[in-house]
Amino acid sequence: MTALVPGLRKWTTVFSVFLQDGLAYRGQAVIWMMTNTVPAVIMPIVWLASYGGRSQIGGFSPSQMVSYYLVTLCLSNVMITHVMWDMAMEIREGRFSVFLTRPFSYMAYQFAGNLSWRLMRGALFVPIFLVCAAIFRPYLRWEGYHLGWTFWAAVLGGHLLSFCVSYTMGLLALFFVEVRSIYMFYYMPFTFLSGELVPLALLPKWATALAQMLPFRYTLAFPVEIFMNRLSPGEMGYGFVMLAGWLIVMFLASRVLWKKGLRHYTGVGM
Amino acid sequence: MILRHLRLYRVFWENCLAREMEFRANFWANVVTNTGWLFFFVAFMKVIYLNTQRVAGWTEGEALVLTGTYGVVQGLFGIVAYQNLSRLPELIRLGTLDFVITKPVNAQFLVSTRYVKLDSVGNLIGAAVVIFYGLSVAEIAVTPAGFLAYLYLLVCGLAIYYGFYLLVMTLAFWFIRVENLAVLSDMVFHIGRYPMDIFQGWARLTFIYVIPLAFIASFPARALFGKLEPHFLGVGALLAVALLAASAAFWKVGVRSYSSASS
Repeated sequence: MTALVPGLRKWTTVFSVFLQDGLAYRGQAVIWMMTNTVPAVIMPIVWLASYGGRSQIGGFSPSQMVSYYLVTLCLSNVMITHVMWDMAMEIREGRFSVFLTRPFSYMAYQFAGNLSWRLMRGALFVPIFLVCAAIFRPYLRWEGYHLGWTFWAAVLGGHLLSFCVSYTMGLLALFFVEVRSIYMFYYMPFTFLSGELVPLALLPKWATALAQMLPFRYTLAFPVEIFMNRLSPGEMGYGFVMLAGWLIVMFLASRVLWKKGLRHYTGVGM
Repeated sequence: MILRHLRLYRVFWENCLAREMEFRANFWANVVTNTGWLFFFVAFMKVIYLNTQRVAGWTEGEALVLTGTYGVVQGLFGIVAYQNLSRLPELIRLGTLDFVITKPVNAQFLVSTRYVKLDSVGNLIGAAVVIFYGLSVAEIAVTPAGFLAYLYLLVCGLAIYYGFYLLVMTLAFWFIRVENLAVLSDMVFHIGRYPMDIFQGWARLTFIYVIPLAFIASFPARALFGKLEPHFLGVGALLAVALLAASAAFWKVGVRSYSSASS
């Protein structure tokens, strides 16, 4: 099959190399995933201890609150990418220069590698998901949740957006040495405005409004809200428009940063 | 003997202070970052209390005192021992532990306290501010007995935190990739930020007696409000002593099994 599509072979090779690399670090991968999982399990427990007899908090029943966090955890493993760290390291150590001589785009290379990592992470996540589902079994209820094409489109779009955002942030390493603090400025608002910490409806009104405009929501909470039938058709349409808009903006930003960055970049250690 | 170690610690302190003042910008950057995380958690608390009056019986003011207390313990631990113990796997792997165990002072003391991380002082001050703010919001009158119990349990909590972390890091004598375990133990310890009362049954018992996170912040805070059952004061001391003894013993086992870099 690879012979039929010229050029496909280099992608399957990249993919499989990354996959083998990822498998070698599967122990570490599980630990990384646990650091995401522990807060995602604690938050529902905190909320469940806060209902105090009420039937809902911010429009979420106990069952819906637990479901929200479980689904958000699943999707965050599948959608959210963090390519900026590896990229920053490659650039800082000068290994990046090698890619400038290779016959494919660096962005596509990172995307292919990330895809294999997603696959592995998804597979490793399954037992964790089963344990979480078992812990919260009394609260889990299927309330006619939506798994139609709009959901999948939001998942795919959100993943692409997350990749574009983290790739663009990785390119910042071509300009700055101390990118870690910049990345922290991304992660801090991300936890609040992406819906990872709490459902966006539970934030103060100004924060919820801000979240509708920034890209964070579209990399995580947007598909979750579609899944849980919390959006009217109008709101969903608005969401998709924002998602598409941010995708275009981040993609263009990455192109600009790439051109400017290469001029700025001096190959260290080559 | 103890005097000698205390004098040595004073030298560490002066040495590290001098070092930090050489890189002043870096020092202040770290202080700002550490304080930033504290504000993050306060904002997080505010979001939760926007949506409810009580979390497992804890009001907003009480929860703020809890967060602040956790920050104080974390800050103190960070200044004294956290970074030093985190470096243990590296010392073992590179064989530089040799330079520690051949010194004429207690190796555990040296490994735990060599570098004084003064930038965690930002954590400490910020956390104290949060505690006072929480006390004013909660309108709690603190009794002298409550305050003393609070300080006493903070010491227990610190000892428990230290003992536990040392136990985990001592595993580096046998497992090379213990850094990941350290990350995991940090994650588990972060659970101590939340009121223990969110847990019921066996989970609650685990966090009181097995991984005594309750003593790091929840129980001291409750003692401050005068709401802690007195027997926990005894339990805290017992657990602190037990963990300190166990970790020291485990450390000795680790050092014995350590084969140095050169022979």
